[in-house]
Amino acid sequence: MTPLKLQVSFESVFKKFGDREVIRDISCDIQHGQVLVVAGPNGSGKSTFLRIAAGLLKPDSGNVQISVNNIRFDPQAYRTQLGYLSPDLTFYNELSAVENLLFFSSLRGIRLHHDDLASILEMVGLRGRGRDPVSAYSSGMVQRLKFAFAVLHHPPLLLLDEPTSYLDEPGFRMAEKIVKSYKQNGIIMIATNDAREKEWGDLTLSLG
Amino acid sequence: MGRSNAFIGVDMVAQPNSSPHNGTTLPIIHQTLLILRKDILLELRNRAAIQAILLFSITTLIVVGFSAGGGANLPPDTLASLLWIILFFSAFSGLSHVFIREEESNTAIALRLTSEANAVLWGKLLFNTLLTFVIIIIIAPLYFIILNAPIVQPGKLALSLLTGGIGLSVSATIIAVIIARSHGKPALFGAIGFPILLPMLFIAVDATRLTFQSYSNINVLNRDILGLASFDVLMIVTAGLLFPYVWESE
Repeated sequence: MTPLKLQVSFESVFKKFGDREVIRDISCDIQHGQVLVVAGPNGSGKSTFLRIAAGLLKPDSGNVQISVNNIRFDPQAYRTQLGYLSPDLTFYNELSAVENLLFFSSLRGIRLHHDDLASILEMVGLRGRGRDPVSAYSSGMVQRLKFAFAVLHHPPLLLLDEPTSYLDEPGFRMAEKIVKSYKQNGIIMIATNDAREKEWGDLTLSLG
Repeated sequence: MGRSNAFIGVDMVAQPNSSPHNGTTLPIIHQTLLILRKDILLELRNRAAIQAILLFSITTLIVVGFSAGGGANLPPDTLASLLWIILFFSAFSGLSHVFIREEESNTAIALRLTSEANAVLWGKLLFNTLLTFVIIIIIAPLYFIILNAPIVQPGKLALSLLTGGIGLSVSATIIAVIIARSHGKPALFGAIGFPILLPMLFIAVDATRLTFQSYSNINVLNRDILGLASFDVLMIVTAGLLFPYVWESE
Protein backbone atom coordinates (compact mmCIF):
# COMPACT_ATOMS: atom_id res chain seq x y z
CA MET A 1 0.00 0.00 0.00
CA THR A 2 1.26 3.52 -0.85
CA PRO A 3 2.25 5.45 2.25
CA LEU A 4 -0.33 8.11 3.04
CA LYS A 5 0.72 11.67 2.28
CA LEU A 6 -1.50 14.37 3.66
CA GLN A 7 -1.60 18.11 3.11
CA VAL A 8 -4.09 20.72 4.30
CA SER A 9 -4.32 24.11 2.58
CA PHE A 10 -6.24 27.20 3.62
CA GLU A 11 -6.57 29.83 0.89
CA SER A 12 -7.87 33.28 1.84
CA VAL A 13 -10.45 31.95 4.28
CA PHE A 14 -12.97 34.38 5.72
CA LYS A 15 -15.72 33.66 8.21
CA LYS A 16 -18.06 35.99 10.02
CA PHE A 17 -20.95 35.58 12.42
CA GLY A 18 -23.43 38.38 11.96
CA ASP A 19 -21.38 41.52 11.45
CA ARG A 20 -18.36 40.18 13.32
CA GLU A 21 -15.50 38.88 11.21
CA VAL A 22 -13.98 36.02 13.16
CA ILE A 23 -11.59 34.60 10.56
CA ARG A 24 -10.04 37.14 8.21
CA ASP A 25 -7.98 36.17 5.17
CA ILE A 26 -6.19 33.13 6.56
CA SER A 27 -3.89 31.29 4.17
CA CYS A 28 -1.55 28.52 5.19
CA ASP A 29 -0.28 25.07 4.16
CA ILE A 30 0.27 22.29 6.63
CA GLN A 31 2.37 19.35 5.48
CA HIS A 32 2.33 15.71 6.52
CA GLY A 33 4.06 15.22 9.88
CA GLN A 34 3.47 18.77 11.10
CA VAL A 35 1.61 19.99 14.16
CA LEU A 36 -0.11 23.36 13.77
CA VAL A 37 -0.91 25.27 16.94
CA VAL A 38 -3.72 27.81 16.57
CA ALA A 39 -3.39 30.39 19.31
CA GLY A 40 -5.13 33.61 20.22
CA PRO A 41 -7.28 35.25 22.88
CA ASN A 42 -10.79 34.09 23.69
CA GLY A 43 -13.17 34.76 20.83
CA SER A 44 -10.34 35.12 18.31
CA GLY A 45 -11.70 32.26 16.17
CA LYS A 46 -9.54 29.27 17.18
CA SER A 47 -12.49 26.91 17.52
CA THR A 48 -14.09 28.33 14.37
CA PHE A 49 -10.85 27.65 12.46
CA LEU A 50 -10.88 24.02 13.59
CA ARG A 51 -14.58 23.64 12.82
CA ILE A 52 -13.93 24.89 9.30
CA ALA A 53 -11.06 22.41 8.94
CA ALA A 54 -13.40 19.66 10.17
CA GLY A 55 -16.10 20.55 7.64
CA LEU A 56 -18.53 21.42 10.41
CA LEU A 57 -18.63 25.05 9.27
CA LYS A 58 -18.30 26.47 5.80
CA PRO A 59 -16.12 29.53 5.21
CA ASP A 60 -17.92 32.57 3.81
CA SER A 61 -15.20 32.81 1.19
CA GLY A 62 -11.92 31.13 0.43
CA ASN A 63 -11.01 27.48 0.14
CA VAL A 64 -9.94 24.68 2.39
CA GLN A 65 -8.46 21.64 0.66
CA ILE A 66 -7.41 18.36 2.17
CA SER A 67 -5.10 16.42 -0.12
CA VAL A 68 -4.55 12.72 0.45
CA ASN A 69 -1.84 11.41 -1.89
CA ASN A 70 -2.63 14.35 -4.19
CA ILE A 71 -6.36 13.53 -4.27
CA ARG A 72 -8.25 16.59 -3.11
CA PHE A 73 -11.24 16.60 -0.78
CA ASP A 74 -13.21 19.43 0.69
CA PRO A 75 -13.45 19.18 4.47
CA GLN A 76 -17.14 18.25 4.43
CA ALA A 77 -16.46 15.24 2.21
CA TYR A 78 -13.51 14.25 4.38
CA ARG A 79 -15.34 14.82 7.68
CA THR A 80 -16.10 11.21 8.56
CA GLN A 81 -12.41 10.31 8.15
CA LEU A 82 -10.80 12.82 10.50
CA GLY A 83 -10.38 12.81 14.26
CA TYR A 84 -11.99 15.68 16.17
CA LEU A 85 -12.03 16.68 19.80
CA SER A 86 -13.64 19.86 21.13
CA PRO A 87 -15.34 21.19 24.25
CA ASP A 88 -18.77 21.02 22.58
CA LEU A 89 -18.42 17.38 21.54
CA THR A 90 -20.55 15.14 23.76
CA PHE A 91 -21.65 11.52 23.96
CA TYR A 92 -24.85 9.66 24.80
CA ASN A 93 -25.10 9.75 28.58
CA GLU A 94 -27.38 6.72 28.70
CA LEU A 95 -24.80 4.57 26.93
CA SER A 96 -21.52 3.34 28.34
CA ALA A 97 -18.19 4.53 26.97
CA VAL A 98 -17.78 1.22 25.14
CA GLU A 99 -21.28 1.45 23.62
CA ASN A 100 -20.58 5.00 22.46
CA LEU A 101 -17.27 3.99 20.88
CA LEU A 102 -18.80 0.93 19.24
CA PHE A 103 -21.70 2.93 17.88
CA PHE A 104 -19.55 5.64 16.34
CA SER A 105 -16.93 3.23 15.00
CA SER A 106 -19.69 1.09 13.45
CA LEU A 107 -21.06 4.20 11.71
CA ARG A 108 -17.59 4.72 10.26
CA GLY A 109 -17.60 1.14 9.01
CA ILE A 110 -14.98 -0.07 11.43
CA ARG A 111 -15.40 -3.27 13.37
CA LEU A 112 -13.81 -2.90 16.78
CA HIS A 113 -12.79 -6.08 18.53
CA HIS A 114 -12.57 -6.42 22.27
CA ASP A 115 -8.80 -6.20 22.13
CA ASP A 116 -9.01 -2.95 20.14
CA LEU A 117 -11.41 -1.50 22.67
CA ALA A 118 -9.34 -2.66 25.61
CA SER A 119 -6.18 -1.12 24.19
CA ILE A 120 -7.84 2.19 23.32
CA LEU A 121 -9.38 2.46 26.79
CA GLU A 122 -6.02 1.57 28.31
CA MET A 123 -4.35 4.25 26.19
CA VAL A 124 -6.71 7.01 27.39
CA GLY A 125 -6.69 5.81 30.99
CA LEU A 126 -10.25 4.50 31.14
CA ARG A 127 -9.39 0.84 31.64
CA GLY A 128 -11.96 -0.82 33.89
CA ARG A 129 -14.46 2.04 33.43
CA GLY A 130 -15.56 1.30 29.88
CA ARG A 131 -18.87 -0.25 30.89
CA ASP A 132 -19.91 2.67 33.11
CA PRO A 133 -22.54 4.99 31.65
CA VAL A 134 -21.06 8.26 30.42
CA SER A 135 -23.44 10.07 32.80
CA ALA A 136 -21.33 8.68 35.68
CA TYR A 137 -18.10 10.11 34.25
CA SER A 138 -16.25 13.14 35.60
CA SER A 139 -15.28 15.96 33.23
CA GLY A 140 -11.74 14.60 33.02
CA MET A 141 -12.98 11.12 32.16
CA VAL A 142 -15.23 12.55 29.43
CA GLN A 143 -12.19 14.38 28.06
CA ARG A 144 -10.29 11.08 27.97
CA LEU A 145 -13.25 9.49 26.17
CA LYS A 146 -13.12 12.32 23.62
CA PHE A 147 -9.52 11.33 22.90
CA ALA A 148 -10.62 7.74 22.39
CA PHE A 149 -13.36 8.93 20.00
CA ALA A 150 -10.90 11.13 18.10
CA VAL A 151 -8.20 8.51 17.53
CA LEU A 152 -10.37 5.39 17.38
CA HIS A 153 -10.07 5.07 13.60
CA HIS A 154 -6.39 6.10 13.37
CA PRO A 155 -7.15 9.31 11.48
CA PRO A 156 -4.31 10.98 9.58
CA LEU A 157 -5.87 14.38 10.34
CA LEU A 158 -6.40 15.09 14.01
CA LEU A 159 -8.11 18.31 15.16
CA LEU A 160 -7.84 19.04 18.86
CA ASP A 161 -9.61 22.01 20.43
CA GLU A 162 -8.38 22.66 23.97
CA PRO A 163 -7.25 19.05 24.27
CA THR A 164 -6.10 19.04 27.88
CA SER A 165 -9.08 20.82 29.47
CA TYR A 166 -10.15 19.06 32.67
CA LEU A 167 -7.20 16.65 32.49
CA ASP A 168 -4.94 15.98 35.46
CA GLU A 169 -1.18 15.57 35.10
CA PRO A 170 -1.34 11.91 33.97
CA GLY A 171 -4.08 12.97 31.56
CA PHE A 172 -1.82 15.71 30.18
CA ARG A 173 0.95 13.16 29.62
CA MET A 174 -1.55 10.85 27.89
CA ALA A 175 -2.53 13.70 25.56
CA GLU A 176 1.13 14.52 24.89
CA LYS A 177 1.89 10.90 24.09
CA ILE A 178 -1.02 10.72 21.64
CA VAL A 179 0.03 13.92 19.90
CA LYS A 180 3.64 12.75 19.57
CA SER A 181 2.69 9.32 18.25
CA TYR A 182 0.00 10.59 15.84
CA LYS A 183 2.26 13.30 14.47
CA GLN A 184 3.96 10.68 12.28
CA ASN A 185 0.55 9.55 10.92
CA GLY A 186 -0.36 12.85 9.27
CA ILE A 187 -1.31 16.32 10.47
CA ILE A 188 -2.46 17.59 13.84
CA MET A 189 -4.06 20.97 14.50
CA ILE A 190 -4.38 22.14 18.08
CA ALA A 191 -6.38 25.17 19.23
CA THR A 192 -4.96 26.26 22.55
CA ASN A 193 -3.60 29.01 24.74
CA ASP A 194 -1.85 26.63 27.10
CA ALA A 195 1.91 27.26 27.09
CA ARG A 196 2.77 23.56 27.44
CA GLU A 197 0.46 22.57 24.56
CA LYS A 198 1.98 25.26 22.37
CA GLU A 199 5.33 23.49 22.70
CA TRP A 200 3.92 20.53 20.75
CA GLY A 201 3.61 22.63 17.60
CA ASP A 202 5.90 22.91 14.61
CA LEU A 203 3.94 25.87 13.26
CA THR A 204 1.92 28.50 15.05
CA LEU A 205 -1.01 30.44 13.68
CA SER A 206 -1.87 33.45 15.84
CA LEU A 207 -5.41 34.74 15.53
CA GLY A 208 -7.00 37.89 16.86
CA MET B 1 -14.02 -6.49 28.72
CA GLY B 2 -17.68 -7.50 28.93
CA ARG B 3 -19.70 -8.72 25.97
CA SER B 4 -23.07 -7.36 26.96
CA ASN B 5 -22.79 -4.10 25.08
CA ALA B 6 -25.55 -3.20 22.71
CA PHE B 7 -23.33 -2.52 19.74
CA ILE B 8 -21.04 -5.53 20.08
CA GLY B 9 -21.93 -8.10 17.48
CA VAL B 10 -23.20 -5.50 15.05
CA ASP B 11 -22.40 -7.38 11.90
CA MET B 12 -22.98 -4.68 9.41
CA VAL B 13 -19.52 -3.31 8.83
CA ALA B 14 -17.70 -3.47 5.56
CA GLN B 15 -14.45 -5.25 6.35
CA PRO B 16 -12.77 -6.43 9.53
CA ASN B 17 -10.13 -3.95 10.66
CA SER B 18 -11.10 -1.67 7.80
CA SER B 19 -9.50 1.72 7.79
CA PRO B 20 -11.21 4.76 6.34
CA HIS B 21 -8.33 4.97 3.89
CA ASN B 22 -8.59 1.54 2.35
CA GLY B 23 -11.67 2.54 0.40
CA THR B 24 -14.44 0.97 2.50
CA THR B 25 -17.42 3.01 3.62
CA LEU B 26 -20.55 1.85 5.37
CA PRO B 27 -23.66 1.87 3.16
CA ILE B 28 -26.38 4.32 4.17
CA ILE B 29 -28.82 1.49 4.90
CA HIS B 30 -26.44 0.08 7.53
CA GLN B 31 -25.85 3.49 9.07
CA THR B 32 -29.64 4.00 9.13
CA LEU B 33 -30.16 0.74 11.01
CA LEU B 34 -27.40 1.57 13.49
CA ILE B 35 -28.97 4.96 14.23
CA LEU B 36 -32.42 3.37 14.58
CA ARG B 37 -30.99 0.75 16.92
CA LYS B 38 -29.22 3.39 19.00
CA ASP B 39 -32.41 5.48 19.30
CA ILE B 40 -34.44 2.43 20.38
CA LEU B 41 -31.79 1.64 23.00
CA LEU B 42 -31.77 5.24 24.29
CA GLU B 43 -35.57 5.24 24.43
CA LEU B 44 -35.62 1.95 26.33
CA ARG B 45 -33.17 3.40 28.83
CA ASN B 46 -34.62 6.87 29.41
CA ARG B 47 -38.21 6.48 28.12
CA ALA B 48 -38.36 10.24 27.42
CA ALA B 49 -40.62 10.09 24.38
CA ILE B 50 -42.84 7.15 25.28
CA GLN B 51 -43.59 8.54 28.76
CA ALA B 52 -44.56 11.94 27.35
CA ILE B 53 -46.74 10.31 24.72
CA LEU B 54 -48.48 7.84 27.02
CA LEU B 55 -49.07 10.45 29.72
CA PHE B 56 -50.77 12.74 27.22
CA SER B 57 -52.70 10.11 25.31
CA ILE B 58 -54.06 8.11 28.24
CA THR B 59 -55.12 11.26 30.09
CA THR B 60 -56.85 12.66 27.02
CA LEU B 61 -58.49 9.34 26.28
CA ILE B 62 -59.94 9.10 29.78
CA VAL B 63 -61.19 12.71 29.69
CA VAL B 64 -62.80 12.18 26.29
CA GLY B 65 -64.30 8.88 27.42
CA PHE B 66 -65.86 10.45 30.53
CA SER B 67 -67.16 13.55 28.81
CA ALA B 68 -68.65 11.54 25.93
CA GLY B 69 -70.40 9.20 28.39
CA GLY B 70 -69.27 6.05 26.61
CA GLY B 71 -69.69 7.58 23.19
CA ALA B 72 -72.84 5.64 22.30
CA ASN B 73 -74.53 8.68 20.82
CA LEU B 74 -71.54 10.30 19.17
CA PRO B 75 -71.85 10.68 15.39
CA PRO B 76 -69.10 9.07 13.23
CA ASP B 77 -67.51 12.42 12.29
CA THR B 78 -67.10 13.38 15.95
CA LEU B 79 -65.69 9.94 16.78
CA ALA B 80 -63.19 10.19 13.93
CA SER B 81 -62.20 13.78 14.80
CA LEU B 82 -61.61 12.96 18.46
CA LEU B 83 -59.46 9.95 17.55
CA TRP B 84 -57.19 11.99 15.27
CA ILE B 85 -56.97 14.88 17.74
CA ILE B 86 -55.72 12.44 20.37
CA LEU B 87 -53.30 10.77 17.94
CA PHE B 88 -51.98 14.10 16.61
CA PHE B 89 -51.26 15.67 19.98
CA SER B 90 -49.97 12.42 21.48
CA ALA B 91 -47.55 11.95 18.60
CA PHE B 92 -46.40 15.54 18.65
CA SER B 93 -45.82 15.47 22.41
CA GLY B 94 -43.13 12.84 21.94
CA LEU B 95 -41.84 12.74 18.39
CA SER B 96 -39.87 15.98 18.66
CA HIS B 97 -37.54 14.43 21.27
CA VAL B 98 -35.61 12.41 18.75
CA PHE B 99 -33.88 15.40 17.13
CA ILE B 100 -34.13 18.03 19.83
CA ARG B 101 -32.37 15.61 22.20
CA GLU B 102 -29.41 15.33 19.79
CA GLU B 103 -29.10 19.10 19.44
CA GLU B 104 -29.64 20.01 23.08
CA SER B 105 -27.12 17.47 24.31
CA ASN B 106 -24.67 18.32 21.48
CA THR B 107 -24.44 14.69 20.37
CA ALA B 108 -25.37 15.88 16.86
CA ILE B 109 -21.70 16.90 16.38
CA ALA B 110 -20.43 13.34 16.82
CA LEU B 111 -23.23 12.13 14.56
CA ARG B 112 -22.26 14.65 11.87
CA LEU B 113 -18.64 13.51 12.13
CA THR B 114 -19.44 9.85 11.66
CA SER B 115 -22.49 9.45 9.45
CA GLU B 116 -24.14 10.56 6.24
CA ALA B 117 -26.93 13.11 6.56
CA ASN B 118 -29.48 10.87 4.86
CA ALA B 119 -28.70 7.97 7.19
CA VAL B 120 -29.53 10.24 10.13
CA LEU B 121 -32.81 11.26 8.48
CA TRP B 122 -33.95 7.73 7.65
CA GLY B 123 -32.86 6.37 11.04
CA LYS B 124 -34.80 9.06 12.89
CA LEU B 125 -37.76 8.72 10.55
CA LEU B 126 -37.94 4.97 11.09
CA PHE B 127 -37.73 5.47 14.85
CA ASN B 128 -40.53 8.05 14.83
CA THR B 129 -42.68 5.83 12.61
CA LEU B 130 -42.14 2.93 14.98
CA LEU B 131 -43.09 5.13 17.92
CA THR B 132 -46.19 6.41 16.10
CA PHE B 133 -47.39 2.87 15.48
CA VAL B 134 -46.78 1.93 19.11
CA ILE B 135 -49.06 4.87 20.01
CA ILE B 136 -51.69 3.84 17.46
CA ILE B 137 -51.59 0.20 18.56
CA ILE B 138 -52.11 1.24 22.20
CA ILE B 139 -54.50 4.16 21.77
CA ALA B 140 -56.78 3.14 18.89
CA PRO B 141 -58.14 -0.12 20.38
CA LEU B 142 -58.66 1.56 23.78
CA TYR B 143 -60.45 4.41 22.06
CA PHE B 144 -62.76 2.07 20.13
CA ILE B 145 -63.61 0.16 23.31
CA ILE B 146 -64.10 3.20 25.58
CA LEU B 147 -66.18 5.13 23.03
CA ASN B 148 -67.92 2.07 21.67
CA ALA B 149 -67.02 3.00 18.10
CA PRO B 150 -68.89 1.04 15.41
CA ILE B 151 -66.14 -0.28 13.14
CA VAL B 152 -67.78 -1.33 9.89
CA GLN B 153 -64.73 -1.58 7.67
CA PRO B 154 -61.79 -2.74 9.80
CA GLY B 155 -59.45 -3.25 6.83
CA LYS B 156 -59.96 0.26 5.51
CA LEU B 157 -59.73 1.65 9.05
CA ALA B 158 -56.34 -0.05 9.46
CA LEU B 159 -55.24 1.43 6.11
CA SER B 160 -56.33 4.93 7.09
CA LEU B 161 -54.48 4.62 10.42
CA LEU B 162 -51.39 3.26 8.64
CA THR B 163 -51.21 6.00 5.99
CA GLY B 164 -52.21 8.71 8.47
CA GLY B 165 -49.64 7.44 10.99
CA ILE B 166 -46.84 7.57 8.42
CA GLY B 167 -47.87 11.12 7.51
CA LEU B 168 -47.76 12.12 11.18
CA SER B 169 -44.32 10.62 11.79
CA VAL B 170 -42.67 11.96 8.60
CA SER B 171 -44.04 15.47 9.17
CA ALA B 172 -43.06 15.36 12.84
CA THR B 173 -39.53 14.27 11.96
CA ILE B 174 -38.83 17.02 9.46
CA ILE B 175 -40.43 19.71 11.63
CA ALA B 176 -38.41 18.49 14.62
CA VAL B 177 -35.14 18.81 12.72
CA ILE B 178 -35.97 22.32 11.54
CA ILE B 179 -36.76 23.38 15.11
CA ALA B 180 -33.73 21.59 16.54
CA ARG B 181 -31.26 23.05 14.02
CA SER B 182 -32.68 26.55 14.46
CA HIS B 183 -32.37 26.16 18.25
CA GLY B 184 -36.10 26.80 18.57
CA LYS B 185 -38.22 25.82 21.53
CA PRO B 186 -39.96 22.43 21.53
CA ALA B 187 -43.21 24.33 22.13
CA LEU B 188 -42.96 25.56 18.54
CA PHE B 189 -43.34 21.99 17.37
CA GLY B 190 -47.12 21.80 17.61
CA ALA B 191 -47.56 25.35 16.36
CA ILE B 192 -45.56 24.70 13.18
CA GLY B 193 -46.78 21.15 12.73
CA PHE B 194 -50.49 21.84 12.92
CA PRO B 195 -50.85 23.94 9.74
CA ILE B 196 -48.60 21.55 7.79
CA LEU B 197 -50.65 18.58 8.90
CA LEU B 198 -54.07 20.18 8.62
CA PRO B 199 -54.81 18.91 5.07
CA MET B 200 -53.69 15.41 6.03
CA LEU B 201 -55.78 15.49 9.20
CA PHE B 202 -58.90 16.51 7.25
CA ILE B 203 -58.46 13.54 4.91
CA ALA B 204 -57.60 11.14 7.75
CA VAL B 205 -60.68 12.21 9.72
CA ASP B 206 -62.87 11.78 6.66
CA ALA B 207 -61.44 8.32 5.87
CA THR B 208 -61.85 7.17 9.48
CA ARG B 209 -65.40 8.56 9.60
CA LEU B 210 -66.35 6.57 6.50
CA THR B 211 -65.08 3.34 8.07
CA PHE B 212 -67.62 3.85 10.88
CA GLN B 213 -70.55 4.04 8.42
CA SER B 214 -72.13 1.04 6.74
CA TYR B 215 -73.59 3.20 3.95
CA SER B 216 -70.35 5.04 3.13
CA ASN B 217 -69.25 5.63 -0.43
CA ILE B 218 -66.38 3.21 -1.04
CA ASN B 219 -64.99 5.38 -3.84
CA VAL B 220 -64.70 8.38 -1.53
CA LEU B 221 -63.02 6.19 1.09
CA ASN B 222 -60.54 4.81 -1.45
CA ARG B 223 -59.84 8.34 -2.68
CA ASP B 224 -59.15 9.47 0.90
CA ILE B 225 -56.73 6.61 1.51
CA LEU B 226 -54.98 7.36 -1.77
CA GLY B 227 -54.82 11.01 -0.73
CA LEU B 228 -53.17 10.04 2.55
CA ALA B 229 -50.66 7.80 0.77
CA SER B 230 -49.87 10.66 -1.65
CA PHE B 231 -49.30 13.02 1.27
CA ASP B 232 -46.89 10.46 2.77
CA VAL B 233 -44.90 10.18 -0.45
CA LEU B 234 -44.80 13.96 -0.81
CA MET B 235 -43.54 14.42 2.75
CA ILE B 236 -40.94 11.65 2.41
CA VAL B 237 -39.57 13.15 -0.81
CA THR B 238 -39.60 16.65 0.72
CA ALA B 239 -37.79 15.36 3.81
CA GLY B 240 -35.15 13.63 1.67
CA LEU B 241 -34.53 16.81 -0.36
CA LEU B 242 -34.68 19.26 2.54
CA PHE B 243 -32.85 17.38 5.25
CA PRO B 244 -29.22 17.54 4.05
CA TYR B 245 -29.47 21.35 3.83
CA VAL B 246 -31.07 21.72 7.25
CA TRP B 247 -28.63 19.24 8.83
CA GLU B 248 -25.62 21.10 7.41
CA SER B 249 -26.95 24.57 8.22
CA GLU B 250 -25.01 26.58 10.81
